[in-house]
Amino acid sequence: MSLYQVQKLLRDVNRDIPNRERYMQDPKSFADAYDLSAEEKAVILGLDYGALYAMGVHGLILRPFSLFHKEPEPRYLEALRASRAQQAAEV
Amino acid sequence: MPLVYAASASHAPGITAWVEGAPTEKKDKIYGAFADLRAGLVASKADVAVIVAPEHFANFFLNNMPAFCIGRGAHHMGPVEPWLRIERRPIPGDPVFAETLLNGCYEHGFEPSYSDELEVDHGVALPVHFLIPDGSIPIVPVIINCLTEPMPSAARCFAFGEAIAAIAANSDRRVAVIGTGGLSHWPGEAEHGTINEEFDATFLKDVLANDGAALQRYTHEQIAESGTGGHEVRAWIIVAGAVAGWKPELLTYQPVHEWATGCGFVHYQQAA
Repeated sequence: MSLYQVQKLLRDVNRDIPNRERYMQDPKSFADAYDLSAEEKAVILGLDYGALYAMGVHGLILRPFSLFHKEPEPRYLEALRASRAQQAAEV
Repeated sequence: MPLVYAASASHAPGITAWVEGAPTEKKDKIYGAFADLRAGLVASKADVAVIVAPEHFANFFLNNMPAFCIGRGAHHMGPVEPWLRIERRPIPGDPVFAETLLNGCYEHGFEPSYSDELEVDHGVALPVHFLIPDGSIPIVPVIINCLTEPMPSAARCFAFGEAIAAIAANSDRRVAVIGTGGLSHWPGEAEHGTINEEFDATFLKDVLANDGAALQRYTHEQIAESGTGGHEVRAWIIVAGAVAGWKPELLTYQPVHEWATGCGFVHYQQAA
């Protein structure tokens, strides 16, 4: 698990236009350049915001990333809250 | 010479990006507060405005996260957010005073990082949009880590403000200091939309009493009750450190749920 690499990828997409264009063209190839586990890669490529939040991705990285994918705020928040509820249930 | 102007203000992106989202009455009070701040800044005849603002992963990331960073560039391009509805432009900087501030910090027990190529996000660009729309007063951004732990303590922030005031007093510039951020909000988090009005009221009470001792006693955990974004009140504590003896005035406090932020605006009258 590398939360750092996950956040690095997302933040690179958020903050760098050439990176974002390469990512949008071919997300899988873009993700291959990062030191990610298969699970991390699947969660990113699947745009699983709840799972990314559970990993510990900061809201100020996750929400901008989701905005580039035109994720509506209610659905984004629903994913985060469901993820948190599931984590609480597992404790 | 001594500081000529001081203020603290929220910088919720919705203020410009989703202006139509907020109730008109609240929006008008906030826009009125910005107009009052601008009038005070212009009347102060400031040569330079030090804008104390939090990091939002615009310039820094976990590969290098300074506690404090001084922007030394001749200009500061921003905002970085294309959706903010603020034109991206080079905001004039003041490399000479930035150098004075940087060197002065080293003499006052602080070793901030510095950057000759900062970009600015809504934390700087939004207040500058309202306060210095014509670029007539250059700025020196001071970026604080309010994002990732550990963050500078309240006492350390207060002392940083004291240092800014002392450095300004020894310079030949008319210096304004403006803190931006807060009050309670949880941007991008599961709690997004929550406003802790109780925290905001307590914090504003301490700010409006200009109670430096109380402000320095805030622990990280207490500040965290105002949300992940509420950590930005460190900018307000820095300003308070710079204006001991000045009289604060609340322009408005508006909990704007549509903008998911407790929005506060305070300026300070100089000690007689």
